[in-house]
Amino acid sequence: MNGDDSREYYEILELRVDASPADIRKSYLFLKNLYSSESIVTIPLEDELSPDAKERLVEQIEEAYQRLAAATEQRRPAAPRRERRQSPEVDSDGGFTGPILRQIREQLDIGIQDLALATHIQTQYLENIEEENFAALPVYVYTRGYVANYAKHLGLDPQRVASDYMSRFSASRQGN
Amino acid sequence: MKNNSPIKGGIGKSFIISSLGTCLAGRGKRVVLVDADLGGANLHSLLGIGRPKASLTEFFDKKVPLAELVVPSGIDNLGLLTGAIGSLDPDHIKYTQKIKFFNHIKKINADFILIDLGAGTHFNTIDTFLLADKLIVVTVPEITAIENLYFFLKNTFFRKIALACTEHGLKEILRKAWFDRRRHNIQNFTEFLTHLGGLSKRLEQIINNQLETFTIQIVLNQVRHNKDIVIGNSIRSVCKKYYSLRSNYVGYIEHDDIVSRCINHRHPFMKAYPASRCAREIERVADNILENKQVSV
Repeated sequence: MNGDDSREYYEILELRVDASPADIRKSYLFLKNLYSSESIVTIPLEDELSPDAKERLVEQIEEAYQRLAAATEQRRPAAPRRERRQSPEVDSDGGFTGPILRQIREQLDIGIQDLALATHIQTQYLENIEEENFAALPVYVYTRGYVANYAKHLGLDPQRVASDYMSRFSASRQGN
Repeated sequence: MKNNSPIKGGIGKSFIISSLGTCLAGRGKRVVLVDADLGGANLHSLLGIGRPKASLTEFFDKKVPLAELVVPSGIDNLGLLTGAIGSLDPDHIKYTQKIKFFNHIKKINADFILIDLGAGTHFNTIDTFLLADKLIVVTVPEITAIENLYFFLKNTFFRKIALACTEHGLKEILRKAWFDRRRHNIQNFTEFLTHLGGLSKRLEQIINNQLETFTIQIVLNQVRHNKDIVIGNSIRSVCKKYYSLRSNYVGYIEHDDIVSRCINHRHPFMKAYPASRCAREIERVADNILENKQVSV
């Protein structure tokens, strides 16, 4: 990808070229949702853009995100080769397990310390979440809050991630 | 907007501009508020004072210099230049009067001049709007208000293009392109701009120049739910993607019943509740406008 292309992708995602991987993902999810659903902001614009043009807009957003996400991975040679992420749906294949959450975090290039700072959750808990070390995690409501917060900072749907994760948490606690 | 619904009042343009004025004056800046809502001037009410005797009517009718018509607002560092309710039909302001008015506004000796405009897209309103260094628009999380905002922005940008074309002697080409738009199957704003830009290198340059020098500052007022905050981000995105127009989302003001209570009791809000959440949000809007920053959500 040359510089001009990548500048264009950043522009499509309405970001500065120094945007972090987490910002890229956040903006992508926001824009994709904005232009693939109807809201009070887009309904008045029906005459402005044909359905085709609107579809193209969503495709552009999708493409810009895929290219920028792929470029981010190329910049980190130390990381093991992984499947290129397609969209948030693919991330959740097999559920939002601790290891999957860690994988997404690493793909987004977010360090555990940075996440701790951003979420105000202790690193130790974040690690326990990623290792699914349920016994070392606090009671249900707190853990659920932590997981939702963790998901939110990765640009994931907090509700979906939390309910998926907490089903395994509950099962493990009942098992004891 | 101001005349939309007699029950609800407006979307809060006058409240926001008078609060921004009070806020800047409180920081020691010399501020003049110009109430250029010539159909329904009421900034004095929001500042808690009676209708000033001096008004813009004297400027237009009796040629009294603008500077002499600025009255104290009751707030330190804040002067008020008021419009004239009902007595002045914006359609009757002559072109030369308008130019004179603009020149006098620019000459007012102050750190900040805040001009409050009436709702609508009359070309006098738009021309006054385009005078400003910072083009501030206010909207609320309601579909009709957002629709009006798009309409206003489109009209304003067209006017800007038209003024630039006139300046470069290309007025006729623009007029012709506009009349021929159906024949070229032009359906919307962006298609028209693209068509116009395709007519000549010079026009393309003018349009690009005008796009470069047009940045709207969006304020979202009367936010009632957290989820509504991102509406500002959405509007900003739409302006860029649909209309190629640049904007900054400079802030939102949460709905608070004390605002309308203050207005009804003629207490200037920023003086009465300087520590309230709304007041802090106004302060942040002022900071963002001055520092070219935006809301980060």
